[in-house]
Amino acid sequence: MTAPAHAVAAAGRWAVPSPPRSFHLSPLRVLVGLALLATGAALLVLQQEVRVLEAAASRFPLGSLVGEAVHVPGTDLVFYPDYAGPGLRALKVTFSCSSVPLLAPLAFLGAVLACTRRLAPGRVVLGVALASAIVFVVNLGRILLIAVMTANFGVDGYELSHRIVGSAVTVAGACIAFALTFRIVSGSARRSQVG
Amino acid sequence: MIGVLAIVTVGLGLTYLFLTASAGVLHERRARGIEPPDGPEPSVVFFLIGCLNEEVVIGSTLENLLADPRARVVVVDDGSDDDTGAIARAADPVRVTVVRREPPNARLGKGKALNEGFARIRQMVADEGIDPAEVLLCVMDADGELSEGCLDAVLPLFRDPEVGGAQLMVRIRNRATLLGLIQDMEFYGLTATVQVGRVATGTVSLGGNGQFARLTALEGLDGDPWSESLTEDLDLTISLLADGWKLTSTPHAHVSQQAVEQIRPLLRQRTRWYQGHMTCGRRLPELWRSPKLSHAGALEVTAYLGVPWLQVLPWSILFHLGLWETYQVIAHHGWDIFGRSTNARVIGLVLWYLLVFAPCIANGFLYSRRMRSYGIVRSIALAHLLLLSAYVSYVACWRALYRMVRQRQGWEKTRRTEELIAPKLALPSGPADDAAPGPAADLLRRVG
Repeated sequence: MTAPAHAVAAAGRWAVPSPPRSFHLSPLRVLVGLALLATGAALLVLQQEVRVLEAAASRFPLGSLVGEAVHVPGTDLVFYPDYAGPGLRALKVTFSCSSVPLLAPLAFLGAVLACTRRLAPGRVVLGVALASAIVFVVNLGRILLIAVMTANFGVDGYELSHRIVGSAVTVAGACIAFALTFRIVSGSARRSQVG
Repeated sequence: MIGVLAIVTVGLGLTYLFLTASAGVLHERRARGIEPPDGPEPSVVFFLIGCLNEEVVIGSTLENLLADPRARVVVVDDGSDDDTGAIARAADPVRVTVVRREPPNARLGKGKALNEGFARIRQMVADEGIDPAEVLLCVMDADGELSEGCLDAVLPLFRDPEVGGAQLMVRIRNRATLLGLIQDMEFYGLTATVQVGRVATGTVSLGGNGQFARLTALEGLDGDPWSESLTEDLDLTISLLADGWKLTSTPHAHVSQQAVEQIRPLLRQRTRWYQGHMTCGRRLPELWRSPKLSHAGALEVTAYLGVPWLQVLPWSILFHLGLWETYQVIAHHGWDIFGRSTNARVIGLVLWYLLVFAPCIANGFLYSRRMRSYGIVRSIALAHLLLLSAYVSYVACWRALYRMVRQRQGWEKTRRTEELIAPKLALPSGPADDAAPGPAADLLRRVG
């Protein structure tokens, strides 16, 4: 039975049934699930390398904001000027400051969703990938915020930006990432024909 | 690691709340301007009330329901020891039908009582030659009262042929007490907005009071509509969703009920709710296998059923670990964690407060949109009392888990509070018509 268009609009565009094409746990689903599982595990095992990457990625934008920044190759350290006092400040991307604590759970969540017989594995991978990109960028923004606040306001700026504002930014980034994953894996809001 | 777990837990929870609450706010705004779709709507409404010793409240409840000429009532007297049946029969011999259950076929749970009432309604519909497609059924608690013009708001929802059920927002009548006010803020603030938001996915949860369903939708289910589950309403929700029906709500009507006025009974009630909710999780595979439910609906219901497991239980631990960690840091480093200057500490404390109490602030804001007589500042201030209800939830959820592990299922029903209302006034429906009860409508309470 096809519902009238106004009825669909009234009931909510996401309420339209969109049954899966197949209810079988295909080898592709298993493969995608295992790949995402392995990705999550790899992120945790190689978290040092991810942190080095994040430190390197922060060098250019941080340099643009505070005048100059130097990344020590192979480390999670970035040095930049301290405008609140003499000398330099060092930004260290620790594990809890890294995006790994959110990227790994996203990958594990994706692994579970991919292995359900309902959701398209391609959409799951796309959702997790885009969400991961958002988490990475938001976390980078948080790191830059901490660095800039510290450079300009010293310890006061560090404490405020690191403990409170930074936490809010991280939670907001997580919410956006989860919401985007949900939006993508749940598929198009347009009605699909039952095959 | 605690911080990481906290961020993931908080992130998931806030995501769910933000998406559903945003959808709820948007839907309420749109719902004011949208005309109901064309099409036939049910013309006969049977109210089904399961009663066990409800003489204190059943009279006024029936008076409220029978005020609408379209309403007929079936009262299932589930082996009451008091005058519940007699009071119900006397209310209206024509439009009220009393189904008496006697031991040993009485007091076997709300589900069984409702199913017997359902069977009687089906018989009456058949005997009177009524088209079942014209019939709507509404489960009410014995203390439930509908808002003014409720059926005018609900019946058009069923012009959509895919809508199988609708749940009203819940309000608390006896909210002059602290516990009553807290419960009203719980039901009528964020919870009501989230419920309306779930209209977007067609997965509004049915509750035990103000639960509307098509007779044909209930007849189409395998077996009896209401199970022996502790939360037979949630079980019915899952059954209807798996069967392809959309479940909806409206911001233009509500059902009011009594609050539980003491902590111990409130804790028992909430433990029962959590136990039922958590037990329903075993039906998730059925929902995920259903080809009639949207992906968004399956994800939403999964998130909803996961709330006790992924939010309440973990957060009850993480929150206190976080408090302990904060205490440890302050104990070692003093208030320097908010900065060294006074300005920084003030800003830090304000930001900390906004971050930690954001759910309370949001709840208060949403409550003030419906209770305009309270004002936004007062509503937000009162919403901080919800921290107390959070602790009730934590304890109730852990008790529920313990009972599930010990396989304990039996529960006593909640005692009623007698209300003397002089004169009787129905609460207005919808935020635009909201008004604080005046002196003429003050409630005098006596615990029965």
